[in-house]
Amino acid sequence: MRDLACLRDGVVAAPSLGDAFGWIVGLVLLALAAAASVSPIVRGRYRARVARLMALEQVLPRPAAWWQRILRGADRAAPAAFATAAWGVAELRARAALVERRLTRATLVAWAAFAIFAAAVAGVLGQSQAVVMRLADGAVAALFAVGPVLANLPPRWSRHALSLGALALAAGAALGTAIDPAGLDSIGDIVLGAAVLAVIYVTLLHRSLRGQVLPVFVVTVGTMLVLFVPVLLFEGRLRACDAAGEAADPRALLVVVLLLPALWVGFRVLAGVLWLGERGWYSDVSLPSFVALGVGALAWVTGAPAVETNQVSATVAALPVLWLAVTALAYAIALGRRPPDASAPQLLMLRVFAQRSRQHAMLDSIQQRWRCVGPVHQIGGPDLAALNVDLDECALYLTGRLHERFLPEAASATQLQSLLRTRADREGRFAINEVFCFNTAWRHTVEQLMHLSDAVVLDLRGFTGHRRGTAYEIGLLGHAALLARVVAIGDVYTNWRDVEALLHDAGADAAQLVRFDEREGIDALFDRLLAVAAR
Amino acid sequence: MRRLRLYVDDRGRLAMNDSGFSWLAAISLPLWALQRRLYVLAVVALAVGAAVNLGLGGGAQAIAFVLQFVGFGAFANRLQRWHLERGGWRLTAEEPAPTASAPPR
Repeated sequence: MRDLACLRDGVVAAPSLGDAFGWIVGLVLLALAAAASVSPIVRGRYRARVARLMALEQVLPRPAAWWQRILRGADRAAPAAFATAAWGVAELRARAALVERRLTRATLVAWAAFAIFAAAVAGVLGQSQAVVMRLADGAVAALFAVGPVLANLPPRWSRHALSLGALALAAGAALGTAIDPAGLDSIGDIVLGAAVLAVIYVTLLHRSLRGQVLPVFVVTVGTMLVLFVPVLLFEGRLRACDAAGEAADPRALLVVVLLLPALWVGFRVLAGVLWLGERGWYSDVSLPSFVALGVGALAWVTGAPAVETNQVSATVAALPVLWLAVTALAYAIALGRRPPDASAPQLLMLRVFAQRSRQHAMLDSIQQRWRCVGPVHQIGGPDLAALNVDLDECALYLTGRLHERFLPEAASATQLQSLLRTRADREGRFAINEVFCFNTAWRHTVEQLMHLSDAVVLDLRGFTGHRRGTAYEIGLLGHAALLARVVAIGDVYTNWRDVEALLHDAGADAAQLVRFDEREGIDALFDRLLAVAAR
Repeated sequence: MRRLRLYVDDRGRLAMNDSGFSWLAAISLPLWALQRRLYVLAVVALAVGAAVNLGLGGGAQAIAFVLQFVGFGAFANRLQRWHLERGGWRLTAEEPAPTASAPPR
């Protein structure tokens, strides 16, 4: 056994504030890089796990204790939203416009606050305090924020977040280089900074990656800070061990000892973030934008002259947090009071489980638009899993408890209703409810969802009769006489004869089915669905 | 053939068991144990890992690592299943045996 007395006897040199700030920034960026690297793997594994769990067959009913537990945390007020209500198309359209205007206003105010803050703190960061230079700093910060800002705007803008954001980022990097007093000498730093920001953009704003990146990032940051900050703090003593040649690798020992507590802290941090989300403090759309802005602010401060010349004061170290807090405060103030809860039309999305991105894009656009009007329900499947995975679902996957989300058997209508989130969050967006089911539960569940919903979008692109699941749903809609609520999307591959035959077998009139050609576009589809939902 | 099984106890707690080789257990038994809420095993595995790290020389460490990798990977899932069934957990759901043509959705 090796003698670890050197850990006790070594000299501890207190790290400077600049060192500590540098460590934290390095660890955060490292955690982001790690999360970005593993997120495609997590996405693939998550999809595969969803597909396997969907195939499970229940062989023994769950005890009452299980039902009590999963319903305990459910939205108790949800059934109120199912009360009969009447809406006109104009009213629904006005509601959607109101939510979009409110979100747009708040996002633009937050954008302005982010840019103004950059200009305001130029002096603190050791940058030029001339008015023109401050304005230029504000412009660079504003250009950096274009991507996160667009991602939080209504879908007609958010779908361009990555492309326009990347262009703005390049423009910001060019402007930053031009106004940098160090001139060409710092081009390497500018390129490095732009590369870091580009990684932030792609990972945090990419539609099918951000759902996995965020939770992995949160856990990794929490874990790494607990794991490595003590190692860095004890660096002096560890060096004493190295010099004495006593312990083979005391750093490794420290990491091993701290691994479990660090993981525990990482997941507790994630649980805290989830807790805030459950209470509507943020939406799944705005959170990635704020995280991107936060990491960007951190990178901005790190590259400032005050930090590069090792003149880090407590104020400078606190600036990234303060910057983000000011931006979030501006957003919250501009949003104003939370709108009163009102009954909202619910949309059910039924589809062929396809893996074509064109199909996913249209479904994603319609669900994002409908969220301004009411909640969206769908049977969870591997096709849209990457788009709709939220923090909670990914956290369950990471902790090996995703199966807790799956309904094993037919739930009663009351149980199902209480599992659905039907209230808007503070920002006005309604939830996308993915209802995951075992193979023994989905038929009954989808039937209940049909009855609960005011409008049904039935995506039949690529449909042929051998798609048994979708064929079952078409028959169900016919049997239940619910075709009046349905808008069916088709494309050149849709076999409408099979659809008509299925409806005929179900005793329904196929002429009642509203057909929609995907080439008519998303606006036309949204209008059709509003018309169907209006009563 | 890998097969998922879901167990439940009287308190309504669920435990997932997969059959076959576990890569996670092979790479890191503590993480595998944590995912399954086997906290005592996680702590013991970590302690054993630390002891191996401190007590063995380079060559012996490499041999121990290979043995752990193969042993934990091959037997972790089987041991978990044995532990669940012995502890009174009941099978509530399982993956069906694969069929030649599962109907697409």
